[in-house]
Amino acid sequence: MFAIFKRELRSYFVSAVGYVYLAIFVAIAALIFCYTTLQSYSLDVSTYFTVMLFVMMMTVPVLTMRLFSEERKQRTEQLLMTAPISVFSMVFAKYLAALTVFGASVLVSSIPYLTLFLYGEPQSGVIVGNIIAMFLVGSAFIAVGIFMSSLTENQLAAAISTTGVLLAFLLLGFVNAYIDSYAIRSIISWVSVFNRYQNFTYGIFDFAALLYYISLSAAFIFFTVRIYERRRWGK
Amino acid sequence: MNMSKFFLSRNFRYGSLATALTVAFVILLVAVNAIFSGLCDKLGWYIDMTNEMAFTLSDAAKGILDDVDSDIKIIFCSERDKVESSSSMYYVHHTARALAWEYDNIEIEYINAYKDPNLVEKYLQSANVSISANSVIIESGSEYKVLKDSNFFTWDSYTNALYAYNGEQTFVAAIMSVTASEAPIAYITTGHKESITGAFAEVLANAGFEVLPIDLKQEEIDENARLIIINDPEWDFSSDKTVSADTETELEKIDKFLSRQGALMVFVSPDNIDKMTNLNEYLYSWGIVLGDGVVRDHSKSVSIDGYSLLAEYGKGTYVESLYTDISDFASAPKPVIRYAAPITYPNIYKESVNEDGSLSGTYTHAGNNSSRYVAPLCISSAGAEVVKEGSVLSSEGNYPLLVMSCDSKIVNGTYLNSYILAAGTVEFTSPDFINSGYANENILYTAMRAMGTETAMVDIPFKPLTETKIEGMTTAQANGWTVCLTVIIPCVTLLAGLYVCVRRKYK
Repeated sequence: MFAIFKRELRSYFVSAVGYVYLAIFVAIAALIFCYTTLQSYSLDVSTYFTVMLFVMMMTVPVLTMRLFSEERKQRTEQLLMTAPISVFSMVFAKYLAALTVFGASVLVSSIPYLTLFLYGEPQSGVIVGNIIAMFLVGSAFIAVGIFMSSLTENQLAAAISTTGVLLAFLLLGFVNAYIDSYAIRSIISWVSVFNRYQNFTYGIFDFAALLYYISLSAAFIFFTVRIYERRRWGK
Repeated sequence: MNMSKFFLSRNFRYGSLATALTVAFVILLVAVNAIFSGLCDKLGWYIDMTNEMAFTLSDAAKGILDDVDSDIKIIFCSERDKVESSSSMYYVHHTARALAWEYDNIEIEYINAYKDPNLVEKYLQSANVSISANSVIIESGSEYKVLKDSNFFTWDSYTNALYAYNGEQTFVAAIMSVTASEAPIAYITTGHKESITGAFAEVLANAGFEVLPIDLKQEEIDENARLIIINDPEWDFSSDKTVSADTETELEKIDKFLSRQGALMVFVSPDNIDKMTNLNEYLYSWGIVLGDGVVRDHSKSVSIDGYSLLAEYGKGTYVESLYTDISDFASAPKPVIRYAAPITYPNIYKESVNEDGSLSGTYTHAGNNSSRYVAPLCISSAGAEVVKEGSVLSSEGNYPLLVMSCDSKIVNGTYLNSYILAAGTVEFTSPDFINSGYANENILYTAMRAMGTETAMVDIPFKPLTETKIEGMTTAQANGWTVCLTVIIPCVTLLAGLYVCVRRKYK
């Protein structure tokens, strides 16, 4: 598993993909950060983190689109499936590689927060909580991305479908404004990635939401494993 | 059956069993999440990451509520998700949940006041009560209190932005008022053409008082009275014994009430001060002189005529110690004091000196077995002037506008205090300035707290929301940082990538 992880990680940084992704993510994050805080003369980071969810919706598919679809297109997935490792190890290794790159981008995009401390006393606890939540939301998005990538050999199709699914997850909560039934609204709020994230923007470290994001990651990794189990052992 | 063969079988790997296992896995995940979410919701498993601990109950609040045994219901007049989606009600809702987590006798209920108006009908029986989606009802037995969302917050009077959250204070006061076996009485004097605004009555009710009128010429002051308010009298109080030598005069009754640790609030219009000979004489003995004229300040007024003064907080160690909720006086919301006479102190009252030799801002007079000290809670700005009939009487500025006088006796080694809060204005408690983003209401609560009359909110601070405005950064600096952060870090990343790619190519 570690070999696959290393190979995937290296592939991000051997080609320009990893660097371009990092640079674009950090640039967009810094621009949004500056616009919502420094340019607005505000220490409040809640708007920044909320907007970053939508940025991740568009940038994470770039990370994940080639993970499995390229293997299928290049016909190299046979090598993977016949390798003496479990399907889960293979999938998880690729997931970890994408997660590592994403984690690096979150880390580098955290540098601008330091400027806030030069001009006031921002809510450092809230910032830390939001970074952790954003990372876990990203990990869930990556899991969705690798699942969508495993369904197609076309990278563009993988990216677009991932974006679509992530958009649905994020916008689900907004449907509540049109629903009269409290029971249905509760279920939608429970499932909505965006609604669950709101507690962090207020400054509450919500353990239930963290478990939800981890569960979402686990679910889509599981689905991907099942897809490949089927392909590996199918007639 | 050989388990390893089973797990390697095709049926398990991709057959119908695999599908069933997938479904089971999803159900398991949903169940684990549902159970964990339920536990977090029921038991309050979360961490408050805010600097001001806005989502944590203070020890002061717990100390008061620990003694409450009655069952309390906190009723939100909207469904739960609607309450939580409102940015202001989010704080209120979380405080209510914190109370419910901490105390088994407190429960929360949600009703849709628009869909089921009959559910809130009984709470509309009281006059001056209206219920909206953001109303919160505190109920215990047959007693209830309806709160508005504005009761839970203090706004900055300049920017109308939220300044502080005082949900704990509000909830605790409301709970104490609905569970109190007998509410303390706040008397409003009558018989001198006094009047009281609904807003002021609401402030007193929120502080836990039962507000009752009293004609001191004919009635006696109940033992349960804690506060007497003289608000906007147009005739003087009696002090002679024309009726009978044995009958106590109004002011004698007040004096007797104050001597048993009572508190008095006096608000007199500048137009009627001259008529209040006896009352003025009584206040003089407490170190309070309601002066001549009206304070005006065109530069620090919320009205064009200059009489609606945006007052400052009084200075001095004693006064600053009263304002426990204010950490930064410069940025705290200010009170508005309209059409007010200046207040001075009798010559026998001298300004006391601090240990370091500086003036304390408090005026003291030592008498028989007691000492009285008076200090200004609110003062005008340095640029204010006093005018009367168009002429400027003085322009020294810093005129005391609202003062508190304390009589402190030591009886059996214990300090027994009584208080008078006085102002030469009747508009401090006007509905224009109470609950309108100015500090008038909070100052009244501060005064009541200091007087020891406020029933429930002693020592419960309101929580100033963390200052989010960036100070000391110029536009050029903001632009500089934007360019630096948006361009330099990504460029460094791209250059690193370029270096790696080029190096690989020519390796």
